[in-house]
Amino acid sequence: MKDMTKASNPFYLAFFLLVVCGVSTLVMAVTAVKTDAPIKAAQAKETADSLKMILPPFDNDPAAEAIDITSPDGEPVKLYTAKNGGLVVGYAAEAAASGFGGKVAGIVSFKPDGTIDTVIVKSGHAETPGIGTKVTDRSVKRTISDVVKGVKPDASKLPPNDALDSYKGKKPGDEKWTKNDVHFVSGATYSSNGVRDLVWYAATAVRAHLAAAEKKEAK
Amino acid sequence: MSIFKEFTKGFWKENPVLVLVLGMCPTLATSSDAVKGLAMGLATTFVLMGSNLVISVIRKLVPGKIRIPCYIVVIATFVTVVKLLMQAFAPEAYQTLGIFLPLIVVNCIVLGRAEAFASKNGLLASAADGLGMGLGFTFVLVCLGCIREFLAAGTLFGISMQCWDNGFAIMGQAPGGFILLGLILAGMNLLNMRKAKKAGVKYEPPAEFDCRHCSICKLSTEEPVKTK
Repeated sequence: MKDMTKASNPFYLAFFLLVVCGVSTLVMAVTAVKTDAPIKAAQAKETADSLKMILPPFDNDPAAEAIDITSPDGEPVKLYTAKNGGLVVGYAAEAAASGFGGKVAGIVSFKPDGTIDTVIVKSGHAETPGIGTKVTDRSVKRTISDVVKGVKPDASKLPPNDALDSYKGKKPGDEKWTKNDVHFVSGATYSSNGVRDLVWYAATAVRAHLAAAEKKEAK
Repeated sequence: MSIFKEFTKGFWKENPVLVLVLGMCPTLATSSDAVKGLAMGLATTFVLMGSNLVISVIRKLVPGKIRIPCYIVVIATFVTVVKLLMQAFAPEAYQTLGIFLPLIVVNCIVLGRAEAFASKNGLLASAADGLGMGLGFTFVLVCLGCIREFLAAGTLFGISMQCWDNGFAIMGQAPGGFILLGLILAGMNLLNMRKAKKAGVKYEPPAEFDCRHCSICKLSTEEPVKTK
């Protein structure tokens, strides 16, 4: 091992790489530990904010009491139950489906009888700006004249979206909804299909969950 | 070359996108709107500057044979740190960038600057180079993002300019990005050619910026295959 310090010695090269990887692992580990709590807090905040927006007032913690269920199509769905004074005031189900630019995830809120109330698509999707986003985004429409006049958007109301709002009041039937049943945006068929599918998975999973709960109660 | 010159060269003279034509994948993918372009540009700037700094410090210690894997490990570490920090403190920007954030590791601008500059220069010059190149990249992404967003959706940074809602949809997608970038590169060449013509010289792009220094081309030009 007398050539250990020479840059051509394979053992020295391996040792050097090991040291570099070790230092890098340490840096990443420290960052991961330090950011763990803020990341969890940010994720919990996004879900909690979304639930507050789409569910009627509740006094429990739906996110902490969430359960994992499966839709009849086999898709995983997360179910949140909102209660007020011990009574169920609504449900929210989180599901995902394939859109144009990958997975589109969203949360659908339901009335206690399983009727769809509000649909929101979570940020982080990769649908085409200007086309696919017409189906997915409830973005606040600010115009240049609003900015000039200093008009601020109303943060308490969920901005409208024709495609997402077209599911309101619907209940899943035997067949998936088509463009005749809900609002599809022309030119954004894949995004429209993605949103339709995610709402379908959420709605059918909630329907199955409610039916199972009813059966259990009857017994 | 002064530190100031190292910093400013990334904006025009050696702009990573417009002159070096590097990092095309993130350029075309994340310039579909201005906000996305800005977020991607700033994340890349942080990684570029950080990796340039570290590589400049360790340049004399790293054995030549394993320098590339070492640089990649350094860059990957910075990208992971940026990813975790963004996930914790800027979750919206993190979700907007999606898969393109971890892919900064393989952005050839970052490895290119590590190999071509930071491994041969001092700490300050490398930091200035990384910052300048990163900001030059951000500048191009934001410009491309503004034009594409405006043409596709009639908005700038998400604010409607009240001219049209349904613009040229193709500009929001990768083909539109290619077309626009091609036009901008052509425009930049035209400008440089005019400048050279005014000065009375023939415009020649610097040799190290194109493929003339690459020996693969010479295989065909020096000994052309004779056909009967």
